[in-house]
Amino acid sequence: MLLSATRYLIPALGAVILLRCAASLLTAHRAAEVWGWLELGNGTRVELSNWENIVGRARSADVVLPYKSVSRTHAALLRDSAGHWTVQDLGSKTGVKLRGKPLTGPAPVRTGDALIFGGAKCVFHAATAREERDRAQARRDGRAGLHSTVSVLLLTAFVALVAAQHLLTGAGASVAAAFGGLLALLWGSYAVTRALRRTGFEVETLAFMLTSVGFGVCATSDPGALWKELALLAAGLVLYFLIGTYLRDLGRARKLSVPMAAAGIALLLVNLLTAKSIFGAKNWLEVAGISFQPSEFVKICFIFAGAATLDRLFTRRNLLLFVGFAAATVLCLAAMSDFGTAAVFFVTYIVIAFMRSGSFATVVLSLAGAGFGAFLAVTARPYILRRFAAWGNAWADPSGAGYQQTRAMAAAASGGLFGLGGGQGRLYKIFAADTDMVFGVVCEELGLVTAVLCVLTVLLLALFAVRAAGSARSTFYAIAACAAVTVMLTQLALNVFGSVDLLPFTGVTFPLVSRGGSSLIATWGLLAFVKAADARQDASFTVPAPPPAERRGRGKGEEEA
Amino acid sequence: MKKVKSRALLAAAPALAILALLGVFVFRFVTRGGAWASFVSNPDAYLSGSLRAGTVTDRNGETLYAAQNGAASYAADELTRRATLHVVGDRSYKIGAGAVYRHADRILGWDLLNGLWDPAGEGGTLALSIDAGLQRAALEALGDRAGAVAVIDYTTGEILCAVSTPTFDPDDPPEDVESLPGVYLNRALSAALTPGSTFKLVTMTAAIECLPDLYDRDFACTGEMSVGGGKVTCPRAHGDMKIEDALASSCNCVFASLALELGPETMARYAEKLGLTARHNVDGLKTAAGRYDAAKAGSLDLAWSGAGQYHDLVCPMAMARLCAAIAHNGAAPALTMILGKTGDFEELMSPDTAERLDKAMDYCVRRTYGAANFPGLALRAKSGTAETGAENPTAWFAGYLADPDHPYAFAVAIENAGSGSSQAAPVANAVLQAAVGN
Repeated sequence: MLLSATRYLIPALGAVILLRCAASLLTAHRAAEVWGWLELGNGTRVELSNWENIVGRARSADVVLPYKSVSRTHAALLRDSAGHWTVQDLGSKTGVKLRGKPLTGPAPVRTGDALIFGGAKCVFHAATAREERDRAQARRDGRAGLHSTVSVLLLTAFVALVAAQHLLTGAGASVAAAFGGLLALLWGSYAVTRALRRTGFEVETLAFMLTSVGFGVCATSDPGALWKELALLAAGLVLYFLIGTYLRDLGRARKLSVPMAAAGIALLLVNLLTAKSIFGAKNWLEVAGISFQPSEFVKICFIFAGAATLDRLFTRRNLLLFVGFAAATVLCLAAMSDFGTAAVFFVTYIVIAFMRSGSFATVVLSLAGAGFGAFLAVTARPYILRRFAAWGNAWADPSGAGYQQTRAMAAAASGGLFGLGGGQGRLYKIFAADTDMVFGVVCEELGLVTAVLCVLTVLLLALFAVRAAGSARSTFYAIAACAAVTVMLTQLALNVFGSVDLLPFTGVTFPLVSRGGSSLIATWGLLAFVKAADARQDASFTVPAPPPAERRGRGKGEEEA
Repeated sequence: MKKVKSRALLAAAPALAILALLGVFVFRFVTRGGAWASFVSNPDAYLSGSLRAGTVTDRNGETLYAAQNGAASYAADELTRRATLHVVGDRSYKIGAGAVYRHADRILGWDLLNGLWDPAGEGGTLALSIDAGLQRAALEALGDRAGAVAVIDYTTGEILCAVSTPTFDPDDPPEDVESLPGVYLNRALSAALTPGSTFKLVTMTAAIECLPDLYDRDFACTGEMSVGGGKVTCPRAHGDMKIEDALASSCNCVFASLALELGPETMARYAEKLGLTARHNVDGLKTAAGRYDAAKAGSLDLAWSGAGQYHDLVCPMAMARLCAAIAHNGAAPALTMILGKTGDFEELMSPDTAERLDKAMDYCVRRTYGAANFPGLALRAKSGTAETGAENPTAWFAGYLADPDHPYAFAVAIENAGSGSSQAAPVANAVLQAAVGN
């Protein structure tokens, strides 16, 4: 009876949590942040609502100066984390004059400075600390409450029900303890967020929901390993808060680009040269008895290397360096026969390259190049094709190439819409079911509704990142967030649809739901980038707020320059 | 920043692709979920090779198969077990038409909402439209001969009887079971046999609809007819007759000449239109396709094809379905073996044609087969004696009861048996007597 009720309550709670988070993430529609103004010759004031603003004749410019003497993309006005502004010519035909002198390179600009773009005269005003505070207060006042606490309470009930299903069907006290640990980490993270005077906790709520579903899978397949899963989650949270905190300072974050690229390549090379082939793919490293997948952490390196501030988007050399780095990464993974992860990096590369260049030619060329590369690879090593031979035909060979897919689909259907209940599934007995076929396990135990909710949860994070990209303070944050969700989306697509025969079966993980230590930690790391693009007032701990009035003057660099 | 804002939309492309694929998956889950869940290697559905739980009954609630905790049991008596083997299925899932193989999802009680969630461990119940009593009567009448009996309720399309021999006891399979010819085949559904003179119903239908003066014609039979360098023969000279006499005496010469006159295209069109060459859907199982090869115009092959020889092949269930249409104003019902599941009708011929065939088949019974041999039955029938190269011909008897209280169409086919009227007609009588409750 009790078990029967949990079958319906879990998806119902999941849906409510998802809807609450969606409402708060996607419907927030408030005044933009304002960091300064340009006063035009006719007296109009144009707000600078990002840290990075393009001045030009094009409609896509942030400050549109509709004069023939102004180039389409004329100049950039940039603010750093410390509140210092610079102006930079973006290769305009008619040049920029600052305080009457022609600009030769990036130059600092202060309130009251006269700027002439081609023939258009403007006066620059930076927002004062008081103005920033007033604006922040106005954004606060106009805001509907986020009510994160209610969502966290609902999620607590969700986690308790998932645990209860296992306990009602004979799971031991260690399972209860592990789920208790998960709740402690959830409330601990929430407490940290509130202590930092931040109210946005939707990204974390969604991520914890997925993680708890993953805990349920682990409780079925290997309950003894739950404590390890808990330790990995704690490590993931540490990484999340570390990266998030690091990203607060844009200047610091952008300097990591080259070191991170180097670290990523180094990791992959070490992996390629030393790793033994485990289960067909050479993508594991063992250090001090703990095996991990370097490619998971390379994802974080990849995003640091790919994200860029606005001023760097106009330099072709920067993009070419990134293309080279991306190509090397994908080739290393292909050499390890880890085609799934190679595909994840490739799709992410496409998104980053397009966001940086805005050029469809880049996208088309990259796709053509990849297609050619794949053709060469298949010609040289025909056996690669055999791995994908069953694609779309799993039921034609259920004991051979379609072995995993047919079992995943059968188990999924066993669960119907509401599942057999946690701990009641049998798909887990098949090798790698709790990673590669985890969607089947979730369908089987929790039902199709909850499994679909898990997919929608990742989609919601992605939509939020895309939406937040427009209001992020820097293109660095916008690109990083979009790249991070692209990694998650591609993994999700390959995992879910590979296991049910709608895509080739490649064996990548479902973010946070699949078991897999490196993946769990790294995905929490990726979430920090999503969090950093969240410019809603006081929402994200990764986004510095104006210092409170009583601490005026002590806020590091936040005062009027 | 505005530039990057619009570029970020590309990152939403994978999300849209995922939504689309998710839609495809959910659609498949809803439409194919039962089949997925009953995959024989799904441990949620099977235990040590047997369905975990569930029951199969006949139309009267008689239990034919019951599984609990992965232990399956069949009917209590051996005759029922042997008679229903091919509709229920064997323990090793070798009988592809068996319900335990084809409808495992219904037996397990799978539904979209709950999947295989079954805390009571009782599974589901599949009620077949089969009548176990008819199955037993048919098996007893067939005896050791290889053959098939198909009975359909022509008002609903429910299959009441689909017996196939040779058969065996699923609780005690003989060691040499594989040596029994086609033992895993339900011949009523999945075999196509040379139809012999039962096929004359097709030639007759084509002639009624294409030759307006058919009933005014005078036919003559000398016992043989020369065609294209060969001969069509009858067992004896039938002399002068009208068309209904020709059907009742099953005159090869008359039907061969009609086939020659109608031509290969028309004959092929009617074989197809009357559903003898098609595969019919019985709850997802396709019946065996029949065969009608259009031979060269004017040839001996075309002549014999009009009398159900040459390359002609017909599945017993398709023949019963044709008889069901004749009985039901020309409209054949969609076939099912699941109780209470009815479908649409398909018009095979006009009501006028059906009425003429009804009269002709009534005449066949009264003049040739003898109504006294079928006491109490409003029988309409046509026999067939098909030469196959085997020692004895395949014996056919197909028809229906013109009786609103007992709306049954049937076909009996027995391999290597002898003449239709002497071998197959008594089997049909035994089954029909059981069906009307005598």
